[in-house]
Amino acid sequence: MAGFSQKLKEGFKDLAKNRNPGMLSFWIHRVTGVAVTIFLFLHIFTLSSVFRGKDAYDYAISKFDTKSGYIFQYVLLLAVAIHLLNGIRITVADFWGLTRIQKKLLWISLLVFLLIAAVGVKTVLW
Amino acid sequence: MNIEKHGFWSWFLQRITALLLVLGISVHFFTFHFSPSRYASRYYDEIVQRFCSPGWIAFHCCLLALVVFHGLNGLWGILADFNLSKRTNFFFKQALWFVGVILYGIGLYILIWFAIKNGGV
Repeated sequence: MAGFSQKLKEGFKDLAKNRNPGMLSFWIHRVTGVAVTIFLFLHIFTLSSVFRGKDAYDYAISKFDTKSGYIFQYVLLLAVAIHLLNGIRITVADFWGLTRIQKKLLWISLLVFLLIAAVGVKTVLW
Repeated sequence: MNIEKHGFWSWFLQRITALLLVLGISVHFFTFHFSPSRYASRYYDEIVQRFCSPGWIAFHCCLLALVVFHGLNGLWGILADFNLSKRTNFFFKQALWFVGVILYGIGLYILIWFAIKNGGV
């Protein structure tokens, strides 16, 4: 475990030293990936209330139809969108050897992300 | 994800599942979370009426398999970057497989539950 926290500290030091978009996107990709995986457990847990019947299921779902539920879903949308777009960038660069234009791809991803975030305000929060 | 530490198949399947998930998650999100009828579509009666057809159940069985694999394989990739001992690596690998199978099993059971309620599949 000592090696684990040491490695984590080194990672943070790396991020502090190399403040470039590539490093930042690497960290964002990992953090959003872990967050979305944790959400998957919550999602399955919420849906499993169906085993206790229709009312229990509808009650569990209705918790997401509140103001804080909408904010939660908006944050989820942002996390999934940024992970998805950055993932497409990584995959495209890996499979088609486009590492030379990966920075350009990063800015395109960011642009699409901002578009999704703006549309999401109307679709999720409004 | 470091391909040398992690192995080719893990790296390759992570990318393939990612590409498939782009389509799958988009369909799932727009149908259940962010479409104009999203609020009604998530409640019990609506799910049973509209989303318990064999096609939707099959779609969600595949989506669940992809998302569980991609999520847990991603965690495995992060752990591999920590240069853990062989024993710890082995432990985490087995633990993630175990969690994955259990999670997929519960998810599948939920889908089958809905399918039975509808009388379909």
